Amino acid sequence: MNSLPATDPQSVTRRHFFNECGYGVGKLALAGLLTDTLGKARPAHFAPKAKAVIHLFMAGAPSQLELFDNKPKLKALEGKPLPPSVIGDQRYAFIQRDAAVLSPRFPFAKHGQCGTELSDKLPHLAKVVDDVAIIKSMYTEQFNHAPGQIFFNTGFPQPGRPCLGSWLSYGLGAATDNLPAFIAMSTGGGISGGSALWSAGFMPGKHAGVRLRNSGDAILNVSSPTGVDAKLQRDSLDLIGALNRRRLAIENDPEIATRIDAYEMAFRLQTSAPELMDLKSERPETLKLYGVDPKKPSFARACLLARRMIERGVRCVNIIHSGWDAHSNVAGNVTNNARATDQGSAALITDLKQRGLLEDTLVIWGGEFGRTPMVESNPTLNRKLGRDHHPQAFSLWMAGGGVKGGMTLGATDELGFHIAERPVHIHDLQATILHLLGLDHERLTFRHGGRDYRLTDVHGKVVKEILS
Amino acid sequence: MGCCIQKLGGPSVFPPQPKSMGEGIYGGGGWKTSTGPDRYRRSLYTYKKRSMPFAMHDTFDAPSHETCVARRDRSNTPLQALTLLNDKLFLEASRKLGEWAMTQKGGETGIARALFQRCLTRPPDSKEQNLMMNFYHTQLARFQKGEAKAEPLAGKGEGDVNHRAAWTASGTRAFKH
Repeated sequence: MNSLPATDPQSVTRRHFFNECGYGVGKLALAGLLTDTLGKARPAHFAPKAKAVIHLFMAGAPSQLELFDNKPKLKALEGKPLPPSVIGDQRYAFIQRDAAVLSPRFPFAKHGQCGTELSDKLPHLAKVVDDVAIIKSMYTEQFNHAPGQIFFNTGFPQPGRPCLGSWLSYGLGAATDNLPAFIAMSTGGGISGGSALWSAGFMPGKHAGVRLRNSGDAILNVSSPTGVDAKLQRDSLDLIGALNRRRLAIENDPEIATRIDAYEMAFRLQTSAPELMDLKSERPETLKLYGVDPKKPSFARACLLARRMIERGVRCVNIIHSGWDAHSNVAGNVTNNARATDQGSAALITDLKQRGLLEDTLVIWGGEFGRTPMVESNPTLNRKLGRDHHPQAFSLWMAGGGVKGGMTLGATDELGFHIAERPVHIHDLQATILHLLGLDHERLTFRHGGRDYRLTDVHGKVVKEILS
Repeated sequence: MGCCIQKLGGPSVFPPQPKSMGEGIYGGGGWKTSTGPDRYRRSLYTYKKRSMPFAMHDTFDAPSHETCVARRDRSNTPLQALTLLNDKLFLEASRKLGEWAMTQKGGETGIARALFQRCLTRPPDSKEQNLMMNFYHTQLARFQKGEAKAEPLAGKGEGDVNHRAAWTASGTRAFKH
């Protein structure tokens, strides 16, 4: 503040001209195109199947071999290395190519009408498996967490690009004036991909995921500070509004109108965010379905909050549960993380379905890559019976929002090492998600640094087999 | 005058931000809020970490330093409005502004004018001046009647606390709009 000299308002400088006029004139021209400056709803490219997405991102990479992809053959090979012809020249984060095979840690059984096989660590998902499409043939090029997670969420392994939620906010806008279009939550440990996972990258900041926090203010600064009562806050907003409207009348800069709206939405958020977080209106059966203690932050509570957000018009919810990185004791890791996430994820499907919301809400569950059929064991690092990172093949599931229920797509070879049928790249998945939301991934572009960018870069094919 | 410390150079500093910023951050965040003058350095000196950008920088479109930008975005978002209205750092700055207002001459009108000029680098027109004065008188009356408490807003300082609180409130609103 000390360094800001008072300027003479009468002196119009060259800088003033370009800042206030040139820019302003350009913006006036744009105003017609961008009347949705706060992100109001925009039409999709074609009729969408889903209106909203709940992305349950399992950061750290869950072991597909302990959850979805049963490989009994590994038992026969346990303790022996895989043939070099299978491994080729693949490099791993920690293990060597001659690492021994580790058999699946848990028994599998068939469930539902569809007879999909799941391990006994997913008893809740087993009950809704007829609503779920499992893809067992996912692959990626990234074999370390930060680039893998950033790639999954933004389509590029380095930070700096918009994530899925930002593309949706940009492409479709918000369906509510009371909450942000895109909300991100974190319920597990530290996320190696960091804030790039919910960042708008080179897009305007309004498309970034707004973090909903587990402690303190649910949205940063949503409560008034000490000494500011409700009347002072309201009077302040009225004063700011009046001053801004006066400037708008003089300068006619649409950004001032946006600013006025932003203040009004901020005021509404002071009510709508606490209302969203207050689970008192939820029936005891619902809390029981999710296994939620309303006072305690948890993955299940985040799932319940996600349903409440969808009901209130939020476009994209990303719940990041970090902790699946099982370099040691994969059995313990999967047991704990499945216990933390299985009931909440399955309850979300049941609850959305009961309320008629599943048909236009897409739910995605999965991590950034898979885990090796070989064991990770390292006395120096005190690791045993773990699995390393495996980008060649992994599993994830999708449900609702135009996805066929009770189906499995793709398969891995009998060792769970390579994909044997129907490879699905992460760019294919991204193209499919956008397609379900009524967006053509090749037409949804954003110009930055002199060229058009896409979530799928120059790749991606819609996975038609899973469309209902 | 204001709170900003003009010192050049030195190690990064940690202005206040809520504890919840550490949620889900690799390594837990570990934000040790600076005390004393380091709380009020230019934002150039604020500590940066890839996985946990400073909340306010993120909210106000600070480039992430991962790609080159020819032009920094200047968006207008509800999160910015919330920050300006409610963030601790802005409350502290408003208090300073309230204290500063109390030292200005020219009676209430002169003070309001000085405050406006200080924040917006131009004097108010007559309508703006009236809006400011109405706001100031309404809040002053509420503090004097005890309808609202002055000290939690104004903090400890020189001069009559009710007037200081009313100027703190007015100053805050002037530089936020």
